Amino acid sequence: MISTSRKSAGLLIVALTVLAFQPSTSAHHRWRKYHWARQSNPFSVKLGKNLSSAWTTYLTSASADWSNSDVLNTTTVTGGTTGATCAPTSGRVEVCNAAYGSTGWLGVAQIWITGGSHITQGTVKVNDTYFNQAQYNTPSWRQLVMCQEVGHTFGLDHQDENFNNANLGTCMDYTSNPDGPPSNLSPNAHDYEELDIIYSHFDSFTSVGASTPQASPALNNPSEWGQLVKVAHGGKTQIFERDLPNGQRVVTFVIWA
Amino acid sequence: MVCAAVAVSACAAAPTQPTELVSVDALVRSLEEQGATVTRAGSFPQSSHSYFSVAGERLVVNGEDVAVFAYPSVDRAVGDAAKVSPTGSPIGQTQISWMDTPHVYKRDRLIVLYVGHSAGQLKLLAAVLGPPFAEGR
Repeated sequence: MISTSRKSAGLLIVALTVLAFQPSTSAHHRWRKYHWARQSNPFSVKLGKNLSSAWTTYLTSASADWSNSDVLNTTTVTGGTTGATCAPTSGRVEVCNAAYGSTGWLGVAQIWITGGSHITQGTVKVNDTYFNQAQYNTPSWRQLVMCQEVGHTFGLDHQDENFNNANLGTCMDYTSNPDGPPSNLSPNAHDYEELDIIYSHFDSFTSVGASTPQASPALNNPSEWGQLVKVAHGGKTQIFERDLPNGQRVVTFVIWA
Repeated sequence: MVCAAVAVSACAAAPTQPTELVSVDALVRSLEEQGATVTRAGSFPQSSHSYFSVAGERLVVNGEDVAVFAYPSVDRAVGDAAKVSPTGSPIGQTQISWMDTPHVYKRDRLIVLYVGHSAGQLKLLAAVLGPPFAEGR
């Protein structure tokens, strides 16, 4: 009896341990540790329109879909580049279309990183070489690819990369049939959960909307030193690191009196 | 006997590919030697494959597109190949929505990209370039 009770107690502990270590959501498709640096939520990312009229409604829909997230908003603004060149603009995402050639891709999303993980700018390209062909010149294909590429610029990876299995009901899923069912035209709950996870912490600076490099901080206050990365000599020596939006990293060595 | 067996095995595993592929010309010749019909269809602008550090060239091989990236050195080719994820996306900090299954090969100074699923094309490219080092599912 005693033995049985102990066994039960042991099982209970194991069960509690498993529960404690289970993530609160089932989402797990972040793109490395890439994220926009910011100091509060929700943050707002500008999406520059460098698009022909055939694409604007799809960017508008994608912007509205991603803005349903609890942690981020998006707004569409006048573009800062051209479709063909699609040059990036610091602090935001430029969205472009052009006939980029027989490249094999329908769309690409590129991000620039500082400090190993902080997104400073992004571009999205959708390739009219294929979208002008009957197979892809459909609202569903256009919406899927626009939604997916914009989603990547927030630090999301794909939920699934098999073209031929059943749709997951998210634009972050590869498919050969965007309409499904279920359709893969918009984000799903897992995407919003993953964004909540990615943006559950705050940074010591913001890379969102930072169109010009910021001056180096004065660093007079410990709250400006960034993350504590090393402690030595019984706590008397500490090293802090802080990434600046201009790509620099400030390392502060402190020897306490 | 053991030594003989090892020697035979080593000879059987030796590639039938040409000793070195250093240019698009050499690749075209090798493909044609395998019986392929190859048309050179011009260069891509750098922005078309901005995830690689050199501009690509488009080949039409037996009616299908193949992109070739020729590097000035093997080291440069190795550096760009290292950025390619095992499934073909992402490449460095670029996520890519391929229109079909990507197959990426590297040989000497060349990186070769084929997006498709033709068994004949895959066999041809493997014969000239070896197996792909990255490909989608």
